[in-house]
Amino acid sequence: MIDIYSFTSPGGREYNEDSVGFAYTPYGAVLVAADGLGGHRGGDIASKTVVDTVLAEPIEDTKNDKDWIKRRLEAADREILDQQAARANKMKSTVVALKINGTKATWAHVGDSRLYYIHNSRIEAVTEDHSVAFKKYRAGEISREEIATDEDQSSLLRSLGSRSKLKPDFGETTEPLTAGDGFLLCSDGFWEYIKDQEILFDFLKTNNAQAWSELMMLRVIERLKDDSDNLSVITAMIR
Amino acid sequence: MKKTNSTTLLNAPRAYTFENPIPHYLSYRGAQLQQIGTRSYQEDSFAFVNISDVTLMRTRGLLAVVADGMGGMKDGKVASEAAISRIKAEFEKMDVSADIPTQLQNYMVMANDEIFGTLNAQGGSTGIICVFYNESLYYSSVGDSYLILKRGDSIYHLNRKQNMFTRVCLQQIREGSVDCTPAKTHPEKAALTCFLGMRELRDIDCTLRPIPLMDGDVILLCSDGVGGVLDEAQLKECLSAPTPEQMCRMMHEGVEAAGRRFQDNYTALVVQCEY
Repeated sequence: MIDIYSFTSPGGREYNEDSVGFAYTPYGAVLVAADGLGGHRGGDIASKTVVDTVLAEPIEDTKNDKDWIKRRLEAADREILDQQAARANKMKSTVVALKINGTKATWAHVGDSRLYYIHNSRIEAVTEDHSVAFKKYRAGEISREEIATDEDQSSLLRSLGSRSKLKPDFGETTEPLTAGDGFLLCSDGFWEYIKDQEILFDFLKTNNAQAWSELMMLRVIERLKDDSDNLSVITAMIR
Repeated sequence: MKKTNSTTLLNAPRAYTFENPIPHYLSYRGAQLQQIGTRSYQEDSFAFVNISDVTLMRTRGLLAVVADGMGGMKDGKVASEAAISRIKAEFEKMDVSADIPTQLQNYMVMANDEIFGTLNAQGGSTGIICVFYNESLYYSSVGDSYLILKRGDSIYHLNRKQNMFTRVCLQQIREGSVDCTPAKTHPEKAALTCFLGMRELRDIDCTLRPIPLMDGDVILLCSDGVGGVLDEAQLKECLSAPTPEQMCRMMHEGVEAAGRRFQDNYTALVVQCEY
């Protein structure tokens, strides 16, 4: 059984350009978080377009989930480009999408929305942001924690709606999912205010997705600034 | 991610590899600090069990526990001492092959009921129980004492404080808000919503699964007389000292240097994990 909970807030902003969504399937679930860029009637539409497109019926239980996610992200990319043309703006969006299919999980991301996978009481996998700040971290110029406050944190290197070839990064579990595994999908407005280890420690205290989300939010809420970014989380626990 | 389970000796012949790694266990070193502050009574209590016995530490686990008797209430010391003695007695009977988190929660309930039975809600105590066993940390916490892990260059608060501030923040989150102003401005934001000695203990903050410990980890259990006086940067500096004794000395100096006119009792237990 998969327990899923989502939370999204405009933070200190007037509009919420983040979108989250999930759907249960006969063999698992699909979860999507997207962080739009482009302001009101731009970023909010872009991220909603992504979530709606990925979750559009039917969600096939294919053997090749990577290919399925790739096709859905390409469709979302085209939808955003169509919206850009219709509205004469440059809306864009990040995306992180996860498909849980039986005992296997497959995910993809574009931009700086993240996925954390917890297995055996350890963070087993974290996506790598497509951002200038993350490149600096990779090059050893800044620490992992400094990514959150780096001046280039909002400079994205990849996004949906960017008119260049869509290049998602993919990940998948290598061992069968077991009870006690967890997934977190979140936008940068969330992960900038929480450390990786805190995500794990709060996970180890809980047995349901809502409680895990709330424990993390209790940390984040104290650290948010008045003008803080939109923030979103989807938590999932295999039970 | 792949994990390797074999160890190869450097420069050894290729065939000379271990089928299984030589087991090497984390060892734990502990130290404590307790001072009365500017108060007339010491209402904090603490205990280490098995700290000086390596064999028992490995086979039965190491217990570290701190209780802060509630000031302003009758018999704070009675409450914190009752909590410690009950938890110690129960720990001696702990079944290491059974579910440790559930047992730690039960110790809290038993300590709570005993204090309530004696003081009838006229006194109470906070409590933090840590058990180090099988390369992992198990904990359970009631009230607003501090449980902190220093790992690498970072400080992590492990427990959630059970006070009005947290309660109001949680209400905000459940209403979809991320504004904690109502919590910050709450007139009784520091009031405890849970303590040992209530008619019914409804909320225990605890791990449900063990936290894997790593070489170099430092765990601090302390009353708010330390955690509420030293800021995170100061705590990090103290916990970066080479030995637990030096960590305690630095915390002592730090609290004294803060020179609070009304300095609460303060107690700190430090456990350093090393290979």
